[in-house]
Amino acid sequence: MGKGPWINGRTARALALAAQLGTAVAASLGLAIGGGLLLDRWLKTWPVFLLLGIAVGLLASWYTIASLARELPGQKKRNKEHNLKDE
Amino acid sequence: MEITLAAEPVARLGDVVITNTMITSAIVVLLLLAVAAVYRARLSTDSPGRFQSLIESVLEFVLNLCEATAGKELGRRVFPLVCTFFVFILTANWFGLLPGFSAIWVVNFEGHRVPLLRAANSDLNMTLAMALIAVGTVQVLGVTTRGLAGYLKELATPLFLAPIHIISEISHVISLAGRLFGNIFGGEVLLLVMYSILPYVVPALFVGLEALFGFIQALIFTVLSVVYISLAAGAEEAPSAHAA
Repeated sequence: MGKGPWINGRTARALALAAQLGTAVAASLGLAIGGGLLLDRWLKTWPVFLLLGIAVGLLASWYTIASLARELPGQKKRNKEHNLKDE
Repeated sequence: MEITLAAEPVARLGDVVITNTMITSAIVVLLLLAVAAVYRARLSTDSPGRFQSLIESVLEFVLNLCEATAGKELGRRVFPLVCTFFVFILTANWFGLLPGFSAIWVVNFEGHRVPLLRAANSDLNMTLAMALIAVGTVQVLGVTTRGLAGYLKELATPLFLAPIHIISEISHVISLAGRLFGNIFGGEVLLLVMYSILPYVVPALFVGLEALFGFIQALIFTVLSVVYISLAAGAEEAPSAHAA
C-alpha cells in the first residue's frame, strides 16, 4: 500500500461509483416494485400499485444514477464551468 | 456439495442462535483487537518497526482515500468509522480464503453436519448491519448539518419527488449490502465448485482472484460510505484528490 501509482483517490472513487450504478438501479426498482406488490396484496388492488411501483422505481433509479454521476471525479468542476459559461 | 444462502446455525445460547458467520466475525474482531494491542505495545515514534510501518501504511491509505473524497476536515472526522469498515471487511474477506477455513465441520444442536466457519460477509445480516450503520451515519450527518427542518425540506423538495428521494435513500442500504454479500457469497460458491471439480492447482488461481475481489469490495464499500457522507454534509470535492 502506501503512496504508489497503482491506485489513487480519484480512481477509487470512480471505481466505487461505477460499481454502484448497476446495484443502485436494481435496488431502487426492486424496492419500489416490492412495495407496490405488498400494497396490492394488502389493499387487493392488483395491479395498480405494481404499475405505480414500476414507474416510481424507474424514476428513483434514474434519480440515484444522476446523483451518483454528479459525484464522479471532476464532474463538479465541469458542472461549475458549464454553469459559468451559461451565465 | 451443499450450498445454503443463509448462514448455518451452529450452537444456541438461550434463545440466541449462533451461526457460523457470527463465529467468524467474532474471530476476526478478536484478531483485529490482538493486532491493535500489539501495535499499541510496540508503538514507537523514533524507530518504527516493520509491523508498525505496515499498520500505518494501511491507515494512511484509508486516510488519504477519505481526505481525497470528502476533503481534509470531513475526511478526518469520518476516518475512524470508515477505516473500521475497511479493515473489518478486508480482514473478514481474506480470512475466509485461508486454507482449511471451510474444512472444519461440526454437528449442530439440530443434529445436522455444518461448517464451523463461513466468510462473515457471505451473510446478508452482516452486510446489512454495516450498510445500515453507514447510511444511518449519513442521515444523522444530514440532520446535524442542515437541521431537522432543512433536512426534511430537502427530502420533500419538490413534494412529488419525496417518495423517489426516500426510495433512493433506502436503496443505498440495499445496494451497499447486496453487492458486498453477492460478491463474497458468489466467490464462496465459485471456490466450492472449483474445489469439487478441479481440486489441484486451478483453485489457487481463483483464490488469488477472490483475494483481489475481497480488497476491491472493501474499497468500494469504504469509498461509497465516504461519498454518501460527503454528499450529506455538502462537502466539495477535494481540490487535489490524490490518495495512496
